[in-house]
Amino acid sequence: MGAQRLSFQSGVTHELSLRSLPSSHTLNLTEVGDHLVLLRDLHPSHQELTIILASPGVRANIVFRDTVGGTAANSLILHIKHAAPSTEAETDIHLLVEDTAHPRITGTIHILSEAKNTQSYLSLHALLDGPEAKCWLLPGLEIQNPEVKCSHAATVRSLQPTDLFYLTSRGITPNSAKVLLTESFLHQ
Amino acid sequence: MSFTPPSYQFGFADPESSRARTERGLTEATVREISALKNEPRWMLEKRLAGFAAFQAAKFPSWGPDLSKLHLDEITFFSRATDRAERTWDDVPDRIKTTFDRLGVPQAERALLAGVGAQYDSEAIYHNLKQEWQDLGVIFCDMDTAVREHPELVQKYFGTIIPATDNMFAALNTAVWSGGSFVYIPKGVKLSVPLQAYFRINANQVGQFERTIIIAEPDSYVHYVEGCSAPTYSDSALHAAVVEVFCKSESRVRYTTIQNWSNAVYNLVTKRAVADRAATMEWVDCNLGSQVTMKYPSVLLREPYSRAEILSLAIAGSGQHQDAGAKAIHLAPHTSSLITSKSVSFGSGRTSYRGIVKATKAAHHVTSKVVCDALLLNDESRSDTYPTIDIQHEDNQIEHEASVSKVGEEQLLYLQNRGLKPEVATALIVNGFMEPIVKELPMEYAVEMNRLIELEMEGSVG
Amino acid sequence: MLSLHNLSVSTADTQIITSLSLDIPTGQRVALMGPNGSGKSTLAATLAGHPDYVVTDGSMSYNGIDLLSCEPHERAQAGVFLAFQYPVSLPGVPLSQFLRIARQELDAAQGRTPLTHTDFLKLLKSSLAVVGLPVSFAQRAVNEGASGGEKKRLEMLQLLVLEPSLVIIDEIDSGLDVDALRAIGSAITNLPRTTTCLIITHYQRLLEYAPVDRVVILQNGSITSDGGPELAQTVEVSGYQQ
Repeated sequence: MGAQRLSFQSGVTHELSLRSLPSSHTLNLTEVGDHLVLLRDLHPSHQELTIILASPGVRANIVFRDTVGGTAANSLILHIKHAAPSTEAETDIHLLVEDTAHPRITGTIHILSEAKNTQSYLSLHALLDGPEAKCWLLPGLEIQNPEVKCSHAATVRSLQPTDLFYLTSRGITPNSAKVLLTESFLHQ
Repeated sequence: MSFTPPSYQFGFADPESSRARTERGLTEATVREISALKNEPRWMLEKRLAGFAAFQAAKFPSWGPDLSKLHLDEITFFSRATDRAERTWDDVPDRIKTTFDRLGVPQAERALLAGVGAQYDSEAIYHNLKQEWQDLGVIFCDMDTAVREHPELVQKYFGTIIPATDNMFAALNTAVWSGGSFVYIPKGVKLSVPLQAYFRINANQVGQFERTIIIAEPDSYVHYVEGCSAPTYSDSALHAAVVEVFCKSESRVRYTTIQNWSNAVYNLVTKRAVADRAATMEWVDCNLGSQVTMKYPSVLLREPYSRAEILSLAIAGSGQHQDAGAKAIHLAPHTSSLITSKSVSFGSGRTSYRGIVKATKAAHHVTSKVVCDALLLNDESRSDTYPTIDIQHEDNQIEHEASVSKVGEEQLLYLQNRGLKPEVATALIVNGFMEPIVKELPMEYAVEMNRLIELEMEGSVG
Repeated sequence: MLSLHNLSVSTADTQIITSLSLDIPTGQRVALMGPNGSGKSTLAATLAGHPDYVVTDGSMSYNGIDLLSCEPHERAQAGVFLAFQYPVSLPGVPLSQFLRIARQELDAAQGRTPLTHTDFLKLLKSSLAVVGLPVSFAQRAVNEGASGGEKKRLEMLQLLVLEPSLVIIDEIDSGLDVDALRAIGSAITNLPRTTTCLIITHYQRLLEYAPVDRVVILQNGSITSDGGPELAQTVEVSGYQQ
């Protein structure tokens, strides 16, 4: 899944429960230094969240790890906007999809033309657990300045029978094996 | 009826000639006239009229490049070869002539590519191949001929993968198509020599609305090549081709396109293949030139063990927008797709990757990998990536990676340190970037592509 | 006692093992040898219950337990352990956490006194030393970023921590250097005398470091020879003959 590219110091922490935010919300990061943005609780219907790195020297570690279950048909559009030069962001989304959930996630990195010397990375990973689990992902990039280092990776997969077999062959019950693998996915 | 887009600036100006051109703008009368001029059977006229009806109901896409300057009212939708306005060699811009020199384009081809009316006689070259193909039962002719000589085949396949209702430009093509290739490869036949679209061009320029159908019967193989990396002149603002490819079980088809429209062309193409059991479809798609390109080669993997490989290369210079990509639709289990996209933007050029990887509920044990990389050379260049991943069954392994970067300073410095001029160094790096795709092109094209990059870099660096 | 009787095993479309019968008494050290494609790894995977292999005929039992009616984790609970030839990587799953959970489940199933956390860590640390791996491996994700040689040592490590009674070792010697071979060979030799071992190997090199009581030769899915350790020398000299 790729190691984290950027390392962050402890700085300002923003905890956002998406469920309790309106369907359209913007978080402006203006203070120079490292920010940790923790997202949780996917909004039950449709939501658009924009995180703006508004001043030079702003660095953001955006983390969203969640289990989406039930009949959830949530839709999240996340914009990571670099609006100033010398900004850096690492966005890491891990979603465990269960039951008949079918979330729709768009995560786009925007590098505006004034945002030179920017680094931005996005990881968008879904683990489908269950015969009815589905997902729709769109990791996007909109780059208007070439002085950037920017990439993203996205994967969709399910629990692998060979991984489960390896664990059960060591005596771990199938249920425990599943929990071990899904938990480690969410906490990577 | 008019199709005035939200805002427009200039109409399309070209010297009018004789009445064998249809009127500007599209009417039902135009469609009937085209069919009559070609002496088509009733069933084809009916397909065209259905296309026209779909076109009237269709809307411009709500996404993608700006098409507001594409003024459909001003376009001539059909003209016969002999009635087209004559261009002389003097009319051809110097830059193009220089490019031909530098690329080593043979004299005989230059006139054709420049749209200067001289016929390129490929008869002698492909005469022997033609005999061999006939003996094998291979059919390779232009679509107009196919309608006359192989009506049962055309009727069976025409519009079955891309119906007129698919999108606005497919509808338009269905109504006014002319030219294009018809290829039929019988069961078990594997052609070792690529079929070149070039061989069957008997007009003095490439058609605006080509319709191509390729049918590969079970266990057959064909490599079809069209286009040219040398700048190709067109007097039409709009090219809307449709390509349908049928890969029956265990067949393999590779379709290579290199298009480099040299002037302000809107190149809006719909290309789609269906792959049956254990069949492989390969699209190799290189888009250079044109003002706007919208092209998303697709493969419907409709039976188990089928495979899609799509290579997309887009190069956009100033004033150009290449909106290209790939679609792999997994409808059956144990299917796989591999999509590689490389794009280069320089000057104020803009490239966008737009793709879909989809696995339906019935599609399990699917593997898919998409890699898309973009290289930006100048401050005004722009790149976008919109890859959709739509997975409806859990038992799949889907991966996607994309990156955007500028040509590395350290790399450039290193090369310059070894005595290379900046533009040569840049060309070397850009060629290296494109290598995974260029190496899949037939040799002559690969060499031309590399030289073309060198030429382009001369203009853009410094 | 491990008893295989008239065992036939297939993958999706190919029969690999045909009517194989083999009895291995408790504590015996057996080398299973044979040319590539003979079915050695298939037999190992089948014993562990790998989902890709189907038993089409015959029976497998261990200490009276019908293995065919057991899920993989139940076989492990019965004391079976397979050291894989190509172990998978489990990103994000720390080795110590994984082994702790496995040890706990096995202790509970077998009625062993559960290890305290401290004792578990001691066992893990000493086992790492035996196989020649640094302590840092304990916190690393299972097999992630490990070289081929390290993965084989990690399989041995797991064996030492989980203390199974029937150990099947699948080609652990391929690609190992002399030091690793010595460490692993020694670890196998020092297993309790009650531990039954089935060592699958193509070459007899490992057997110099882990001597066995018996050599069984498998060819084309059937046993062609069954004898003492000297059989391994014969193979070394004249290869596998039809």
